[in-house]
Amino acid sequence: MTHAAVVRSMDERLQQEFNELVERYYQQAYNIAYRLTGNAADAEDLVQEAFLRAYRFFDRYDRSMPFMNWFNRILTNLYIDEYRRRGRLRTVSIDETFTSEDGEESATFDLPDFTPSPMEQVLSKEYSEAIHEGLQQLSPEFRVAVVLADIEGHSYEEIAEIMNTSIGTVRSRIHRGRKQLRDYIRKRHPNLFERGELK
Amino acid sequence: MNCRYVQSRLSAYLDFELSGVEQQQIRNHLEQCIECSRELESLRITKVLLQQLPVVVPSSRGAERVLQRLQAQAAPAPQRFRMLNWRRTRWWQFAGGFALAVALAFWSRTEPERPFYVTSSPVSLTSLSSETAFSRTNFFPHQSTLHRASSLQGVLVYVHRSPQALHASPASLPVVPVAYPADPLLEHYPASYWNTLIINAESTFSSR
Repeated sequence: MTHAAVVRSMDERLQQEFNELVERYYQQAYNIAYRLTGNAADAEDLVQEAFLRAYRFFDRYDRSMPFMNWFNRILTNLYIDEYRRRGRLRTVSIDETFTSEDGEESATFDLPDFTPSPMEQVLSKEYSEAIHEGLQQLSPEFRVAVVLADIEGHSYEEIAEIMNTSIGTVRSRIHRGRKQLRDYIRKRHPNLFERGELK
Repeated sequence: MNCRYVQSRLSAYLDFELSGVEQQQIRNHLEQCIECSRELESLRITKVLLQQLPVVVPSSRGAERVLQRLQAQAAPAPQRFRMLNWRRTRWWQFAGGFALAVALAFWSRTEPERPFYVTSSPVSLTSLSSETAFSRTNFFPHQSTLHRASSLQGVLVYVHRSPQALHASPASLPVVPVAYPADPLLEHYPASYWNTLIINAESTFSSR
């Protein structure tokens, strides 16, 4: 086999591998993109661009890392950099303070059992839309951190790597992002936070 | 350990992202602080709500579209456009050429856009014959071409379309080189940027 034929064969293998990754992870990537961009058209654009960019740098992909960890880094960076540059995002200063609402007092809860109960398994469309809308109110950095943690289930360390920042920053972004989201949802659906409604 | 400190770490506590000691200290605090427990519960509910969001299903052709665009990018252009070797030419190559000519003629009647060509690197005009053929695009350059060109001072070559041009050999086509910047973000330039380049190229051509 000539050198050129070997190179071509390797290229074809990489291409085939990448094609399979696209088919396997497209839906997952789209779901993240949808939660980040807030709508189907921008989500599709973002995923398409992210896969094209990933393909360009596929020779740099370290296979000891899960593909989606690597890919999410590309996707979220693209989202934060490019979409903000194009002015598609409604941005909120990362240092902006957010005032929490005071709630009613209630009894203490059992800790630390954080797993959802059966009643929490089904979300109505109305609630889903409120949460989705609430996500769109967050700054891009907070939104990415919250989506990666709570929708994708990444650890803080992984998110720090994906977002190229420190674990302390990730912790802060997730915490502040969740608080802002909580306050947004609670304004619209206070019953979700009343004792007994979602327990 | 005061409430303010505890509340700043409640999300990390919820995610089991604190050290064992700190996790225990916060747990001890929560057992005797209603305010912090209530704060924790509201964050837990928020996290659960996010986890329960339904997975959004994309259009069925999304992945297919990515693969199509990848395929378009992956073509190693220069190898594809060698000059015809008459000795190795087969009948089907003539048939293919004929079909292409028919397709081009049809396309020229149905597509109103001005065609233009992009080279992957700075080239002399005399070497454009095979280089231009592969990267024709109707609107703006292929991303793959731009990617290769982004580290270079790229050259955009406008080729005036005329009925004669369809049948002329590529080397005899009138071309106008137009430089565009070496910018890693070139592919994200809007179509209007490329349209302006084309208009300038066209006016240069017309004034010849």
